[in-house]
Amino acid sequence: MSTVAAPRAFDSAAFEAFVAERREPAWLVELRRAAFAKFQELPAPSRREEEWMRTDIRLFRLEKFAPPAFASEGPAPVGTTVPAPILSAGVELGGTMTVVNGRAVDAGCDADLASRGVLFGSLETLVLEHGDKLRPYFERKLVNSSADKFAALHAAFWTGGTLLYVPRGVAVEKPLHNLAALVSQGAARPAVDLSKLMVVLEEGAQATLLSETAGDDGPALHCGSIELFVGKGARLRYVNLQNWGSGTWHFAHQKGAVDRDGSLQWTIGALGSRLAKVNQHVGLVGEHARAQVNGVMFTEGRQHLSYHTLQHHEAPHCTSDLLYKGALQDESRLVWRGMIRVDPLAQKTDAYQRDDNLMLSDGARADSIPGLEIEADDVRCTHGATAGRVDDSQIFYAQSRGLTRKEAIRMIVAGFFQQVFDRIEIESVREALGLAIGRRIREYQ
Amino acid sequence: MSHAEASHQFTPVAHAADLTDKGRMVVEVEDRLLVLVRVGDDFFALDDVCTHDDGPLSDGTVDDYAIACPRHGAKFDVRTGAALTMPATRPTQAHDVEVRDGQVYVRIRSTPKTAEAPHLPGQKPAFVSTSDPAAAATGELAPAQGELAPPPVEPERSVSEDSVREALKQVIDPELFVNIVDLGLIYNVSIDEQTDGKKHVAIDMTMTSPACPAGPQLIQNSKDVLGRIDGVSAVDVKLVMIPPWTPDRMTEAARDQLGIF
Repeated sequence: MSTVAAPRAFDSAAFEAFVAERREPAWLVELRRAAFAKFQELPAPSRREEEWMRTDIRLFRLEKFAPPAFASEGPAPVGTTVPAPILSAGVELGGTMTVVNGRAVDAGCDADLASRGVLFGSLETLVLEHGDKLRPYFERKLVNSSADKFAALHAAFWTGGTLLYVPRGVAVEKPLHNLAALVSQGAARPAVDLSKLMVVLEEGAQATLLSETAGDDGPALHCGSIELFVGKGARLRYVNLQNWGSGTWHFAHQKGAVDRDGSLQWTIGALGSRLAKVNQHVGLVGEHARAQVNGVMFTEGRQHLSYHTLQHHEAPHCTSDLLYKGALQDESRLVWRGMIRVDPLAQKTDAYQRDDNLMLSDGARADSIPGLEIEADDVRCTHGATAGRVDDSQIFYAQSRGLTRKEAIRMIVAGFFQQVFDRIEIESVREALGLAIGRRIREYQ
Repeated sequence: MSHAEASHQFTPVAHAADLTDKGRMVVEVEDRLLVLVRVGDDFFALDDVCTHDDGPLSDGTVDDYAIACPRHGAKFDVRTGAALTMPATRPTQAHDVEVRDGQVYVRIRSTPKTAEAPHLPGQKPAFVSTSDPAAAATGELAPAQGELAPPPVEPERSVSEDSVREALKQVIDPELFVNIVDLGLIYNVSIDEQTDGKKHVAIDMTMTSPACPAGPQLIQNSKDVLGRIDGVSAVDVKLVMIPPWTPDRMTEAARDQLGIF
């Protein structure tokens, strides 16, 4: 076993050592190398850029972090407990996958799925065995590795990702589950997760994937990507719950591309992290493709979550529907910038976006910035945003019906989220989100 | 994540000589970025956040005791953090500063839970969701809202019988729509100072009738409002039925409200 010490920084020496340890196919190394060159070349994001002007990352110092530990060092200190997943409670799963501190630690799926050609498990392992099959998807670069310094960093150094590959015409009935955890307790260095999630549904395939993250409250970094390829007539339900600990910096680029007659239901829950900056893109790339995006956010303390969504209509007759709802407590911040972009040939587009925020304290703040860029002339695009506080008269009304103040607030918050919960078809997900939010609600005045 | 903050310490952040008059610099204290400002020989520290657009204040210019945000011109009083001009309307957090032997120290001041924030017209509830049962029902209540649901009272700093009674006025009998203090439901208030300086509050309260269905709710709400008073570490609410409550115990205000003369 190699005894080379793990690199201490994201520099050239570290990159070479990283690549040397992995023995990946040449085409993948080339992709990493190009991304690393981009990472070195790109400046750090500036407050003057529209995407970053509301998101202060001056306290984030990349030099405090280093590439994930080498495989030979193991995933996390011995005795570390991995937080229990919450999305999969009571669900009969077809497969599970766990990544701790950027290292795959456990993977498995039903034998009958494997026999039908389904691949589910560690992306870094599977890409070694099925490189030819996966190469086109890597090379499509659904997430642009040059988008910014974080995207380039991720593309150069990603480890321990998760892959779900469903061949043509195969329907996976049982949901699959993957958990990424950041555990810094007892670790010598801040925990780092640079994992990549890739889902490929070939023509006519169907699957449900439940993804979640978890972590303790020590300093940690997640710099990741999600790529969802939904083939012709395929149907993907994807749930992604961001539930990192309160010390985690979360930077992510996430994109789904839906081909002709395909459909994507993408639900995100965002509860955790110290600061999150996420680009969530949906591309409608074939005629009659459909995408529904649901967002449930709850923030507290001094958390700052910033979501930048894009619904990109690249083909005619497509539908996209985005609904984000956020409740904010204490001095937390939510930023949403949403864009609907309609290409010239994407006639008969039907696109909708809406962001509602509910402030539970005076110190909280939400910014909603919807936008439209429409280059076709026969489309229906609508958007809306609301922000408001819990109304004292609503609380009083509930109290006059025998509820305590706290119960009243819980009920009002539950009512606020109901509209988006109604769209989430998976019961365990609704329950997990509802419970997690209910637990966080504090007495407020 | 806990909202209760540990007590903060003075931390050295700079040498007094690092800044000249009207000078400012960014300093980091307890994982927060602050702008440190010098006016004459005095030093001030504010959160480095303009409450208008959340951008940093530290690039702004200092004039007299005001720092101006470089983007849209909002000004803040460096002594208090108060917003002085549009477009900012909310204060930014000010922190404690000390200068000793040429060294500048800053201590983080926690944000009070209920910061008094001015509201611009139109800033209030834009949100009424149609899928929200509680919201749909509030229409019935709206006309009487002014007298029945006064805004919560800022908790008193010192714990006294008066401040306890004042706080209890936030608890409203859901059937009579009158607060429990004016109804005369509070018999006795005792405040017990503990060795750690915290107070234990015990109250004796009664009900208008022994079978009052709102009892548990009134008790819980009383515990909640008393627990929120600064310096109170424990609350005990004892339900007593002797002497029994009579309408004579109501204040003039309560009688007026109920239309009893």
